Amino acid sequence: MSLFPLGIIGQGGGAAAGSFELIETANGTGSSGIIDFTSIPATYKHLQIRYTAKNTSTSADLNITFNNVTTASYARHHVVGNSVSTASAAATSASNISLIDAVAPSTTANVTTNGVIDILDYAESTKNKTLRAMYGLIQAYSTSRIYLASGFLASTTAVSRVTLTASGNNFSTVSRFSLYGIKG
Amino acid sequence: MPVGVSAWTALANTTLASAANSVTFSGISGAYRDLRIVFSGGIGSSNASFTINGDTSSTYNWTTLEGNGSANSSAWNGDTFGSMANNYILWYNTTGILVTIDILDYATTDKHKTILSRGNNTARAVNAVVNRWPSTAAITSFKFNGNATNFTAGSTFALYGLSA
Repeated sequence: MSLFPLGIIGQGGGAAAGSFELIETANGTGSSGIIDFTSIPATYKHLQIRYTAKNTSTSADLNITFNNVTTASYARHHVVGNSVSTASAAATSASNISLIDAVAPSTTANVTTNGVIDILDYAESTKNKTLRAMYGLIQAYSTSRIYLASGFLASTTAVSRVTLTASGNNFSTVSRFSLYGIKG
Repeated sequence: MPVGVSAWTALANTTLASAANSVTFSGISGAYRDLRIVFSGGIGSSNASFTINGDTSSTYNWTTLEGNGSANSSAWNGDTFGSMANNYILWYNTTGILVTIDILDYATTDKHKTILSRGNNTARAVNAVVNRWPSTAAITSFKFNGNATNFTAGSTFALYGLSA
């Protein structure tokens, strides 16, 4: 298996036949800001979440927790291009991995934020849990963003649950979250 | 797609026997959830771009994030023909270019099409790009444009579909 979870060259790519499987797809309902993937089997090497997201109101962050852990044991980094300049930010001792601006606002018709999130070695009990993400949104000149992000949970417990929560309001019905398992 | 079924399908693969100005994937089935496109190769002396469904009248806005070894930057452009990894990725570098492109929900008709790409140019830079085609139509064709110059012989273009 490639160093990259998807076989073909990194973020989001296709793996060899039979090694990349759909676990579950969840769609936004317009009345909930939570997507909860539970009882994730430990039979894969890595996980990948592919999503298109839109909020029912203003733009929102996408807050991720593993195994329903909400203690201050997460960290994150990101680098962002905002059409004009770049910036970087980080957080430690956080209660979740917050993907900043990862859910599009409702104000621009037909626009979603799209992203790919990889959770590496999620089932291993010998290492802390990490993820990487790439996501982006095109609206107007001043509100478009492309992000590369990483997240960390100081826990060696296998991940069996991944919860994605909008930092405000709900996921609109055009939102879609698909969880895939990648065999090693 | 039923849970647990293998998800990626190779839909098309083109290797240029000789330099060419464009490559088009057409007749793309709407049966998949996402598309992935991989370009590996080079281009002569102009930037490349892409066109979706033959649409050369819409504005494909894009935003980039790039590092070139000495500086990082972000840029925006409303380019009639769109960008392929900010065009920078194809700065007249005849070898060593690798671009991966993800188009999520390409066949749905309830949203515009957002394209995420990661570009790697061994002589120039690495970058990440988001690009939006402002149409709710399903994508049925994707064309790489060499514009004023050609993709080099040996360049490969591969298209994959991810089952829903």
